[in-house]
Amino acid sequence: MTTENNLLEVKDLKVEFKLRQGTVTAVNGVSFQLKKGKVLGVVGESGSGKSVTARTLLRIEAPGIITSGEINFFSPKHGELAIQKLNTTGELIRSIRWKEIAMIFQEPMTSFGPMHTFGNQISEVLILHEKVNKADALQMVIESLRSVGMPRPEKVINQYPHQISGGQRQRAMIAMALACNPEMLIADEPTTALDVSTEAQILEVLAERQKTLNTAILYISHNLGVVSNIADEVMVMYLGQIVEHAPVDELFRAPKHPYTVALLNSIPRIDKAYHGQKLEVLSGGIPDPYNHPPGCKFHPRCPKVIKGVCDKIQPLQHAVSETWSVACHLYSTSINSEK
Amino acid sequence: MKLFKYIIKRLLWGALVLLFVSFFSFLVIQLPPGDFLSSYIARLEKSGMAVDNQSMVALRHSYGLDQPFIVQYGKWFYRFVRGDMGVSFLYTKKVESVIVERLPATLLLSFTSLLVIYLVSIPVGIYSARRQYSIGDFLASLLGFMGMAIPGFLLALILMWIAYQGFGISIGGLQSPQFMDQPMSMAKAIDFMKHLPVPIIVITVAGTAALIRTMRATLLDELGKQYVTTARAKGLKESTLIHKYPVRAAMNPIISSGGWLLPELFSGETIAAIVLGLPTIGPLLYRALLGEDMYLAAGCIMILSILTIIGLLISDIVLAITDPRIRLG
Repeated sequence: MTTENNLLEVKDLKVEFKLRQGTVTAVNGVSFQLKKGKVLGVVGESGSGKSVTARTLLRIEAPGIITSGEINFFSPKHGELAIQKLNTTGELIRSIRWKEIAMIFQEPMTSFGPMHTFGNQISEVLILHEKVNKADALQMVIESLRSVGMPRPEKVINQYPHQISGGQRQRAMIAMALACNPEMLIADEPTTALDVSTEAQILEVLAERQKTLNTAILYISHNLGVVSNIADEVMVMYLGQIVEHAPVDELFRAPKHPYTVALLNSIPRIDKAYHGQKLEVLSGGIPDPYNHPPGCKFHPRCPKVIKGVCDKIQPLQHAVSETWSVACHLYSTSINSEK
Repeated sequence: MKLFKYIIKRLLWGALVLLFVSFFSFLVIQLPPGDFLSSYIARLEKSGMAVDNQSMVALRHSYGLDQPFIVQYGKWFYRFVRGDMGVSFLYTKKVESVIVERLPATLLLSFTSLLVIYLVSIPVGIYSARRQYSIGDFLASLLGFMGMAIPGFLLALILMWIAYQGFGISIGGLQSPQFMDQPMSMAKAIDFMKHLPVPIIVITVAGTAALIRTMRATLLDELGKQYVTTARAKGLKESTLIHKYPVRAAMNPIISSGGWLLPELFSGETIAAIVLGLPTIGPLLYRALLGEDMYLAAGCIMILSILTIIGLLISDIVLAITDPRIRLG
């Protein structure tokens, strides 16, 4: 993969949570790049480390600890920055937060403070990062709210979170995230808590604003179908590792990793149901976080497991093509040739 | 306008509550056998004076003590609403003048105590929550639990002893005897300020300790919420965001505690007030109940109830103003 136009490069990132019950490695050697203006989808079950990865990029991973790896961000203002080395409460990371990397959170119910108006909470980022006065900031908030299709934005700036619906709150969140026109946006399951029609509207707004502003997005979801609507590339995560990373169309046409295949098969499809086929369900659950299986972490649930290999050796990333990599022994040339 | 209507409604409810309080307190005060006169006569007889039956009946009649309970209550209540609380048997003075003598000290001590409780417990609670399990947090918790566990009168005795041994000042009441009937002067004010800390410490310690725990627990709850992470992701300074968002939300239980804190301060520290010889309403009520001085006791209870109702109303109004989620119904 080429490195030009990269906005973000993550190399072999490891994030651990040291808890009383033991250490959980939530992110275990993740590497990826995000190009300017592109949308990278991150897909995986709950507990696969997607959200922790995202939070680490803004250094709000606490109580998690980065134990190794690099996060290089190419800031238009500060040049190349090693994010992993920054002080989490320092001035530099705070100037990156929201101004250059903004984030949309999953819970629209709780992601705004309950005691302040939308006008107050959204104008706050403009006053902080754009150094505008309060009156100008409020005007900009109204514009920003209007651009995400919020009805009657002049009224909404004086309203409190409990006064509007979840979908409208998520619109307000998008407006707030894009208010400072960041280089990069992290969308952490922004539509998970919404009903399907609201989800479609929110996705449309996000895709439209992304095109207009040319913002790069790291779009996190547990729903491959949603990701396919908005992303250019997709990476599939399982237990803190990336198991497959490919352009979205190619991944959908011919998924390589058995986990990706299983995820795709578990999407309900109207044509299958029409022919009386049952929905395929991924067998088993996510293993104990304190005790990951040896070898390939997916092998206990994998239908194509190779005995003596998958349960012993951890698969490396194999390049299927220039833009496609998969971490699975089925595609490893060395093991295939041994057979 | 909505707020105004709400206040009117609450005041009307308050009046109704007062009516019930007056009835039941009058009833309870009369429950013990005998009345002020019978214990008065018993005392007279003990000292060798003979009281004949006839004059006793006459006395009882002149005080209206021979009338049925409901008539006594009705007469008293009728006079109460017109500002006449009756005569105290113990002080042989009008009840309102006995209470008014003690009202300034009571109000001063209570409101100063309330202020001290808030000024100490809020910052300490915030500190404890932000640095959970730090040495400072453990220290605050330890002192807090001790403050809650030590009885007020014991603390009062210890502090009086320390003040006398260490500083040679006799801390009883709110002023030294030589200033008792003097007009206000600089020396009297300084003397008064010297007497203030010990009662304030004794009165506030338990309330402060309890509020520190409340503040710490609610703030810890709020600190884990998503909107705090959002504020952090926005690039706000840690101290700025904590004071703007979670602390503001954690203030709710603190504000609503003001309502019950105030009456607790008025009446709850009676024992400490007796030990320290404080001229407040608490000890007055205690004496009135012991001496079966029914009008004085009823007057004290009514004043404390009125202050409680006002305190609750104020805390509810403040809450309605500070929390946008609260709707006035």
